[in-house]
Amino acid sequence: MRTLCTCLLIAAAVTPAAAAPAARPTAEFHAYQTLDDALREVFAGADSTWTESWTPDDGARAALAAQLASPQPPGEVVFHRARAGGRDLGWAVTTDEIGLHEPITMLVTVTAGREVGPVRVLVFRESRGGEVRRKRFLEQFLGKTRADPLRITRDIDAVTGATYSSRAVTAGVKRVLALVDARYPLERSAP
Amino acid sequence: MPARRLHRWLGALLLLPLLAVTASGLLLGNPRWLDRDHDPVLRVVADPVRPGVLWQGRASRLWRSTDAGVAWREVPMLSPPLDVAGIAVAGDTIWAAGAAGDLVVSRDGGAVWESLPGLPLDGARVRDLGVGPGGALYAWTTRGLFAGADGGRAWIARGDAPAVTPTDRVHALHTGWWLGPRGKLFNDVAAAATILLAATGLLAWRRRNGRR
Repeated sequence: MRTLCTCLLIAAAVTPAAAAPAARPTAEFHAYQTLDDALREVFAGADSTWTESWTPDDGARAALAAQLASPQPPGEVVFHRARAGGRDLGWAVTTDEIGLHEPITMLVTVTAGREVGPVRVLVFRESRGGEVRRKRFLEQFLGKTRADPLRITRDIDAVTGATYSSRAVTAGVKRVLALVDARYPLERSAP
Repeated sequence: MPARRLHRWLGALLLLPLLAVTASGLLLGNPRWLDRDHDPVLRVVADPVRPGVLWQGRASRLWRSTDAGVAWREVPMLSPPLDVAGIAVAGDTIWAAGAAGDLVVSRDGGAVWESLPGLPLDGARVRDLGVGPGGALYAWTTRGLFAGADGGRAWIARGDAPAVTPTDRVHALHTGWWLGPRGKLFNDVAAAATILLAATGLLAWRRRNGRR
């Protein structure tokens, strides 16, 4: 018992969590996958690939901001596209979303049927939470559409210990779904 | 051997409070096990500009009332702060900070929200957020006072961090933070193992004493 108490007291004395000085966690940089590798994976079997760029004007950015309740950063959005045997494989878009301190760069795929396809984490810069790159987490997004809540604890389970990174990836998927719909609106049938 | 018997009986009796303390600690650490919609209110701030508007920070998100608190609606945003511990309002600009330091800002009265890089807390917690004249932003944290710069994009520690007391160390040990963010998982596993050991120990003791 005395040994146990001594061990606990020593552990409490050396615990770093409460004692460390205030400092922003050192930014780390983990490039898990290059964009080219990720595109080859998500568009496996494609016989032609190309890119289409779009720079949303102020009106389009305002509309996106209103839809997402989040500002759309200025600048060009690149849609990676692919086709296999004449069949459209959809769109793949890279986006950055802040985790807790740093942006996470991810590639989100949207199928021609407007469902979320494979999602890949390309660059992770936080000191913790890199587990969001794992398949088990990312596969939750497969088949989601804009009609789904895409919300942590509701239809997406966050990775334990990586809640903020999980939230950022979820936000990125939502943003890309909105971008695809804004740039390639569904054709409405004539009345 | 009356001493051994007394020891066994005392041990068996102490099992009950031990089980109660361990199981309740486990449940307190995981409130969603009992209440799936557990979403406690952590902060309420009256909007100094818009009459009747109140902002409410909950464990999951930010909420707003436009009728002085009669009805509340969740504020939609792409990356909502979690465990909202601080809300500051200056005109049309509203900041909300999560306990871990995650930060969002709206510059149009709450329609569009931008995620900002969080406060440099590294495991410490935000206690409150305040804004002074001219939009001077401050955050009170378990690491002391931070002053916001560039509208909350950068933070500078003001003064010394509060001294770490023995109680802080015991708290870190108790909550698992001495092992970092995964310490809670360690604590949960340890609590579950304690319950299992106590229950199986009690069963083994009963069997040894001829009871089944």
